[in-house]
Amino acid sequence: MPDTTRETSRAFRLGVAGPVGTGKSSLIAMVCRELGDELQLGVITNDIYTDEDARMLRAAGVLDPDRIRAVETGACPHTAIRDDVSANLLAVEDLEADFAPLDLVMVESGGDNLTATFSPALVDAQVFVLDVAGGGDVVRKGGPGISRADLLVVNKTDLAPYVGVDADLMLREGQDARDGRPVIGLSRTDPDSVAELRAWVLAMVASHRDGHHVPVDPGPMAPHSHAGDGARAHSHVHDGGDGVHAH
Amino acid sequence: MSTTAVTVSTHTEVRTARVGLWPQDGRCRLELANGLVAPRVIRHDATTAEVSLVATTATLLGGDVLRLAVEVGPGLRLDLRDVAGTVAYHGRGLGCVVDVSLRVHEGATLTWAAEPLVVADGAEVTRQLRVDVAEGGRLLLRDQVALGRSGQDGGRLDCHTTMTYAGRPALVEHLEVRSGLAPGALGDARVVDSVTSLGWRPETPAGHTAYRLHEPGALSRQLLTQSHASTLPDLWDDWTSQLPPI
Amino acid sequence: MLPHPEFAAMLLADGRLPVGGHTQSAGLEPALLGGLEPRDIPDLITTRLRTVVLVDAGTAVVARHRTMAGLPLDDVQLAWAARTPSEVVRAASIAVGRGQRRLAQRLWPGSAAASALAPLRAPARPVAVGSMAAAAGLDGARTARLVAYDDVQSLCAAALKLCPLDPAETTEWLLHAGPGVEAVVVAVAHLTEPDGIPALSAPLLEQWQHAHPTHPRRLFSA
Ligand SMILES: Nc1nc2c(ncn2[C@@H]2O[C@H](COP(=O)(O)OP(=O)(O)OP(=O)(O)O)[C@@H](O)[C@H]2O)c(=O)[nH]1
Ligand SMILES: [Mg+2]
Repeated sequence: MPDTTRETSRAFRLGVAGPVGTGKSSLIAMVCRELGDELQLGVITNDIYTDEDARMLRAAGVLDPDRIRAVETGACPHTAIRDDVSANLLAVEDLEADFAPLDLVMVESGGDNLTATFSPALVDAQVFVLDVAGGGDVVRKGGPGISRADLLVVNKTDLAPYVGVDADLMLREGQDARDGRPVIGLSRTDPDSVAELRAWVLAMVASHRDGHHVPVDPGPMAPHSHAGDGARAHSHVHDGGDGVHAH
Repeated sequence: MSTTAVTVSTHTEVRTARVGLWPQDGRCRLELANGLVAPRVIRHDATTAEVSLVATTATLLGGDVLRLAVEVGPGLRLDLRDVAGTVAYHGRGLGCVVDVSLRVHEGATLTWAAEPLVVADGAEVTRQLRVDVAEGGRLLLRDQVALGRSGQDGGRLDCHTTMTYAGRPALVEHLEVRSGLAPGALGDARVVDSVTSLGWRPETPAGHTAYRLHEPGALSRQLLTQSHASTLPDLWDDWTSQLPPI
Repeated sequence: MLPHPEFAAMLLADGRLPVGGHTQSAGLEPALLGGLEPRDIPDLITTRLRTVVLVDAGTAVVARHRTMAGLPLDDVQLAWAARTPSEVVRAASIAVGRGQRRLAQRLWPGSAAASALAPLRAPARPVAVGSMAAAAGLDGARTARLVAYDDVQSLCAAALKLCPLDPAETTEWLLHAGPGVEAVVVAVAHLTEPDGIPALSAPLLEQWQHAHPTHPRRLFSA
């Protein structure tokens, strides 16, 4: 079937970004576990050097392995979710076509630094995942994902006492940096936080289904970007018909 | 499909060796003609025949044209084999040509376990292989080419292969075989051994690799320094056993 | 209004063109995993230009011609597929071909290229590139040069990720591939018929690429 006729059953596409090891795959597995019974799900992983994420998720047994697909990024995880989303986009569309109708497709970015965010050409919304183990000051360092992703997750709050981090302070700083956008302190050992995540995802899917959700681009990966600087310049995404970029 | 200029002497008339198997009065008729190879009937019954190809001259010399045309009529099965391999000798400036055409009609089967074509030092061989398999026909072909007799680097061989299935191109290849090609072409291989199925796609047994052609068919190929290292005889047996009976 | 052909050629040759090209190494990673010595990489470029690149460039030139003539591209795609026996190699090409088609439809909606590519289930990369070249106003020679240049530059860019190399050195490889690229142009720029597309094969390259998905550690899809 030509790609062009694949518009029919578009899922809500949710990106999951954040530094290496903060718990992106775990969060995706958690969503599959929590919502697998009520939503039709699919997962795309972006692998930096192995298809470990995809294998880990398949092994977790939370989703039909065929619904989890790995995309190689040519060592460019940034590029694959932002500058040139082609490979991911095709993978998402193939999943949507092969398992139509899907409600939700989650795309895991290859673990990267604080500056990588998804292009609005690829996802409808995105979660940025940090963890307490990365240090209490990560939130203050800022970045487009931290400031403007649709959801900021501060993960592994159960570890806070062991790594000498004040999780509540981290969450408050997150809230300050985000102009009221949601922040969830998450731990797989804390059922309330899991319920909070679950509710957020369901609300987003519903809002997308009703056509209320308007994708918001957190912005480009400007170096040392800080909250509220509004820097929107220099995106390599062809987001306008005229193909002209602002610089 | 692809054309190449080859230097061959044209003063001798080229006789085409032929093997045709045709339905006739509920039986089948063999149509044979000698050329540089001569067909010998080994077995022949109502719907199938087995024929071996015997060389009529020593070998391929400069200027030789070995032409063979094989055709299997609808619903019949022909098993072809070679009695021995073919050696192309030093051509003294003249190239030689091996020109083979295989036609498999609707519902027919052709198998050919070809013996190696060995390209000695100084030989310049152009091999044209044209295969046309009609809808529902089946081909199984073993094809080995080798560079040099023992201790030699070998000459030059250009294999032009065009295979069609139901009139559509299925496998088109110009394979250059010679020593000294840059990395990625043949590596240090002296032997290219291939088994091709066309019109059907057999299961590939464990331990073997085969490309799935775009049309129904498969190609398994080994690049070897020594022909006896090939495991394609096993694959050949396996794939042969998967051919449905006529 | 067509862009200037030099401008169009530069646009299409940009390694950052959003068609998914960055996910592939033009066969380099498969070759290295297959045992190619890094010092032989420049020779690998030579082999590619003499074989698979000739096939792809010829395919693109014929696809361009057919698009300009308003003819369907199915025969071109079939001719390419018959010259690309490994399903793995075909799939890798198609992955980028689909990205290329998407971009063509975005940049030149309503063009002959957009309508020629639309009915294909999934275009091979050179089929999509050739058709897009028609939309962009490239002639046959520029189309062939685009395909050959892109192959070499993809390989060079990937080499930097795969081997410890000075980026200036890979740029030097690219420069030195110039004559080989022009040889491709001369060989295929005039082609108009699918049957005329070169069919030179590189059996070892093919084996390496075919084995690529079985390697557990890889950066590139091809
Ligand atoms: N203590 C604790 N550990 C967690 C939690 N969530 C994830 N982890 C652990 O954190 C480690 C990394 O988790 P992943 O989900 O693989 O992280 P990731 O972000 O997908 O990693 P990359 O894909 O490599 O960037 C694993 O060992 C998880 O078990 C949590 O809530 N609490
Ligand atoms: Mg992960």
